[in-house]
Amino acid sequence: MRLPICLCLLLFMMPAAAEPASASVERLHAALLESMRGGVQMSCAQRLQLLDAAVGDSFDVAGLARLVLRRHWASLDRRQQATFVELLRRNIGLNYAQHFARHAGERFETTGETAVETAADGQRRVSARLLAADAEPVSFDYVLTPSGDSWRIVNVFADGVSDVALRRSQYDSVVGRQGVAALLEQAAAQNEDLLRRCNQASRTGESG
Amino acid sequence: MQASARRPATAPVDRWATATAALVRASFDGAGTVLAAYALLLTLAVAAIATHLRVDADPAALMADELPWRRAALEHERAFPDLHRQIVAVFDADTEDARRLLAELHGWLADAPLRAIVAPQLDSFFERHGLLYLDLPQLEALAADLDAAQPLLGRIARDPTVAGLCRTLLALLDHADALPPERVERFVDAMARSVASAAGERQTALEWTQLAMGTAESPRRQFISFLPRDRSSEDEALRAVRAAVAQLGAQWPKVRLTGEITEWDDELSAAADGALLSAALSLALVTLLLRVGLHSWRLAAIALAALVCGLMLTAAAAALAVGRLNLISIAFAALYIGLAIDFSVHLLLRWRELRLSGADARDAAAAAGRDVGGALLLCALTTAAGFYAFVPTAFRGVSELGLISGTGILIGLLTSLTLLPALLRCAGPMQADALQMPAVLLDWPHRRRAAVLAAAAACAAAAALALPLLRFDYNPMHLRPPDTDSQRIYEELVHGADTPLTAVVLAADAAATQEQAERLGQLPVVREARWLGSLLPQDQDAKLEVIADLALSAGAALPAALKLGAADVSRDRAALQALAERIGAMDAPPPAWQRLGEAIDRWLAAPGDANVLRDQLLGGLPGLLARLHASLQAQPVTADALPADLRAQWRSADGRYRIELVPAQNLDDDEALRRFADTVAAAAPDASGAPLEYVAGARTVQRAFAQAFIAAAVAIAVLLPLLLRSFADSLRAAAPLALGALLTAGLCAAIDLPLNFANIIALPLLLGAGLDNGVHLIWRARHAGGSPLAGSTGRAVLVAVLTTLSSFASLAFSPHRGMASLGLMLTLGLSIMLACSFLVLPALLKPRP
Repeated sequence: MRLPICLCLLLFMMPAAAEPASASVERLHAALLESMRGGVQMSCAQRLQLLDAAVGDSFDVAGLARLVLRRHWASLDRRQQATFVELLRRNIGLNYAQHFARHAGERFETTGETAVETAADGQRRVSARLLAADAEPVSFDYVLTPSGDSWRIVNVFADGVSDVALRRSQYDSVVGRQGVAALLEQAAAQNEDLLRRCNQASRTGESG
Repeated sequence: MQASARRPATAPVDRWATATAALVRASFDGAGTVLAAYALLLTLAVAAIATHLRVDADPAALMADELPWRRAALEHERAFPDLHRQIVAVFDADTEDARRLLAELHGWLADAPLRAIVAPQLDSFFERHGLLYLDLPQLEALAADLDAAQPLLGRIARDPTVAGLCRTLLALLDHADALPPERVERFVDAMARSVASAAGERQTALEWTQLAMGTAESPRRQFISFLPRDRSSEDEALRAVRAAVAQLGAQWPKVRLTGEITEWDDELSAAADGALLSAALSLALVTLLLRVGLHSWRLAAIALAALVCGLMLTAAAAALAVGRLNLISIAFAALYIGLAIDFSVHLLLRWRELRLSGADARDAAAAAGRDVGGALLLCALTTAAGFYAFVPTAFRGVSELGLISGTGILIGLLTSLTLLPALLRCAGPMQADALQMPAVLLDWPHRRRAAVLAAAAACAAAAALALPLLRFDYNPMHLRPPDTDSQRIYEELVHGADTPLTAVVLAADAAATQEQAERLGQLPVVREARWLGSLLPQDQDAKLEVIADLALSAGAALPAALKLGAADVSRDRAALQALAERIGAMDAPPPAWQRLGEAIDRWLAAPGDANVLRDQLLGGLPGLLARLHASLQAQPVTADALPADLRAQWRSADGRYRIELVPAQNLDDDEALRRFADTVAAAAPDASGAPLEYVAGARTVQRAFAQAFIAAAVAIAVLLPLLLRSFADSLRAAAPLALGALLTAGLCAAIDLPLNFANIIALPLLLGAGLDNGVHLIWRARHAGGSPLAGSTGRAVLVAVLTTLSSFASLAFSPHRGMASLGLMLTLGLSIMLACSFLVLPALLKPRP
């Protein structure tokens, strides 16, 4: 009697990482809040250092890269794949830097964590909200996949809109029109553009 | 070396003439006794028919079960009983509508004698695993489509209200580059149409599936099978299904019925269609012809009475000897009518001839019995021998027809010699008429015999040349009435992969099945070999990966069960207002946006029911999300995961597997049908299925008839000279039959009237008629001299042939194509036989001094 129970417990515990999935999400949220609170005082370089580290810590960027490129992933050579992963990681950080640079009393609230019904391999979904005093709350749903003893984010739904789906549509149309090489160029250019804006925002902030 | 006319009467039948004369005279004298005896016999016959005779309409019952292809078919039927004897509903609908229709029919048919209603393709299995059945590129394209639609769906699903929809569109205007422009355009355009129609009469709901998946599930061909409880409840089940389908209102797709049971019913009802009217017309025509030919209403009535009585006795004999009539042996009635009327007509006309030359009724009867009796006996014996020669053939249909018809001929002879003379007591006095064989016909063929014989030889040569073109139409579907649903469905399906004309092979286990399927799938005539394993999706790992990725990118945050609340009128109006204003403020809005703005303005100006608008715009969304959610849960599919109804079509209850071979070519073409059947049969000797059964059945029928006719020819060739004691006269008597058969075959080849399962039963009647005409005319020539066409005999041959023609020619107009070809074949054949008897036979006689 005891052995099967132990086995069941063991099986139950095996795929689960040591900490709950929400811990990864909450670490990301903490970094985002710090970036917001930093406001204009924070330089772009400081902000990116903070967010890059958080993205690297909470996201499965390599998994995400494979996911958004789908079958195109296989057509990249190993060096291109590494370049793309790096560009993607940078892009996520830059996007956060653009949208989370002011603070007006907002706070994050984790509302729940459930297993993802449609996925077979033990992914979890963490729901959260960004609450603000003078605006409607924005919902964030994260899909996380186990990685070692923690969980890594592989998709974010902002107000129901899937980041992976958006990126896929966007990348598909670039690859479809111009090929994979253009995709890397375009991603790099987009990052340049975001970086310029980040720097501008900091300078105007500093000067203002 | 004497002329026929002067030949002394020494042949056995000549001696028997005395006996027939005596029999006729005795029957005339003892009319009361004879009539009483027949009354008793008729009563017994009716009882025997009522209790012992049934009609077996199953075409398979025609064949002996021991035939190898028939054994394979029976084996398949035993292993997969549910695939046989079905009623099948065919209609075009998407899965949703098809399910609703299935439920509706279940409701109507709750009390019908059905053991199951089966539609495996509507099983929820396909809802969950449907994506696995797409090709990998198709699936990838669909995933890309869903990803592109996700931002819209995801947002709206969080606030599934008209206001939420408006806000999503506002967000789209703010982030114009978030989605491909053509997709946004399509969505906005569809929404504009829905809003514009919300106030109108005909409303256009927003097609979420179409918008999300790029294509809506287009209606496709759906099949629902109804399985009757048992053989005896098939008719009732068909009536119930027909009634249920008829009760469906206009909102349902048009449902048509087919399946083995329906096809049979359609075929029988077409065969019976107008049969009563045509039978009544035929009877009237026959009566009229007899009246003209016999020049007496009474004689016509006597002939008909004897005919009906003999027919009943024959049917009773069939009931006692065989117990059932099949589709071919039921033709005994036609044979009987066609041949037995000859006997009566010959006897009655001779009697009339004698009466008109002054003999009293009794003497005339005895003399007629003497003069024609021998010929009747000769005809009856040879024809009956011909029919009995059919009995040993393997084709049960032909063998039973031979037995029943042979007996019928003898019964016809007996009634002519006994019942007919007894009835003659009430014939009354005869009056002369002006109807005479034209003198030129009596004289000309004989005078110009060289020319006639040369012409006949030329025709025969031409016919022999055309003969190789004569073909047998293997496909019984070609005989069916063209304008029934089941026939139209057959014609639609036979071109494609859903063709009903497939071959099947049984295999013992999965490994053997796969090996067989792979081997047979290689045959050039086979498009595809289907088996249980081929129902499993290919490339499952790659597809499951795409689906898992899609679940992650699009599915994870979409609710499975979305509930639309009641419309919040003021919030919805405000959001619509805001959207319309935003569109109005655009410099040059794209046309779709402009249409949407105008539609909203119109709706706000005269607001309709807010709930109607909500249903128009959002009613389709929960269904889409539920389907999406289900299909993203696909799991690896094994044979055991398939729906039980579907599995049962491919693996029998006792564990055997079925392989279905779909032909590469359209088997409606006879040559393709034959090639497919032969190739498959050579590669898999135990294969069965419609194409193989058609071809093997046709060959069995052909072989059986060939065997039967050779046996009949031998029997006739032995009997005629034996009875006539003259080889030359035997040849002359058989000449109209032999030449007529050759010319009929040649003509059918020339006008491309192929032999088929239906018209082949005309051949025995042509055999009998051709032979009888020859025998009567030779008899007359031997005994009376002069032209064989002179006197009562020529007239009798003409009247008999015309009566037979008039009873069957109307078949040529039957809606049943098999019946029609039978009617045409009989009309042509009998006309040719008549021409040969009247023109060629006289020319074959020795020159008269």
